[in-house]
Amino acid sequence: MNSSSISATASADDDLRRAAELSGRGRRATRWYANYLLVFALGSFALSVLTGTLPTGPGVLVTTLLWMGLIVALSVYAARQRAAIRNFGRLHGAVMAGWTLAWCATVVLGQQFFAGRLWWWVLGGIAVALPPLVGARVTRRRAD
Amino acid sequence: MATGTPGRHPRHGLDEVIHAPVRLSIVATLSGLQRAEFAFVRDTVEISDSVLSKQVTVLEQAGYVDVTKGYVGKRPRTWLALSPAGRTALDAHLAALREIAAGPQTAADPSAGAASDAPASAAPSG
Repeated sequence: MNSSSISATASADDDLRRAAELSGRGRRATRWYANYLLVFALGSFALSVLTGTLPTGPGVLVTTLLWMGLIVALSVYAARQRAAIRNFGRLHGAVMAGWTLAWCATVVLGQQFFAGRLWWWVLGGIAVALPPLVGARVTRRRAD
Repeated sequence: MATGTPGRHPRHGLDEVIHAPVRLSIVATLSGLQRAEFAFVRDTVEISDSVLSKQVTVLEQAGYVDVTKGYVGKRPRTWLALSPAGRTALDAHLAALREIAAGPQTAADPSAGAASDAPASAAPSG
């Protein structure tokens, strides 16, 4: 092996190492989305339980205000972040679609057949928390 | 864009635009992301605003990086994203680097003389 081959190999090695390091740093900066989804999941669970347990009039107002406050806070948090994971749009869309389906099923069936039954709203809370929890796990795996 | 005539040596697969260290650092940073803020790339690659701006212009003209300007509230923001052509070029460039890094056994340079018969060593992944 001559000296130019050795230096070419070492230089390529350095470039590869640097590229891998920077790619990793970029991906790790997207972990915020996992935190976002975890908070969203917890908030969704609480939303379901509160919706099922609070009395309808004032309960709806309180629940709505709390939920709106959470969404505004999460939106501000997301807007301040400097990097988004690859295929973020698709992932976020899938999480929100899953959440919407679970929430609609929980509310429609709950109000129709299970009004006042706490177990339904706890189960519904788990169902609506599931899509963002799965999204958080996917994000962590992609970001590591 | 890769230039030069195809030959036995993997250096012909190196992309002239991406090969520059700073530009390679920029596209590598963007490789795992949908998009990143200008300031984030600057801080990660550890260069100044003006250097990043110049290199991004080169990458944008090559079609490898997309630049989007917008606002968050009243604050102007510039976002950088690797284009599909940029991803393809980066993948090809990294593949060429891995071949070179595998050693002269699999990267025989016709201008240097005889090729080696030794098996290729494991190349680091990018």
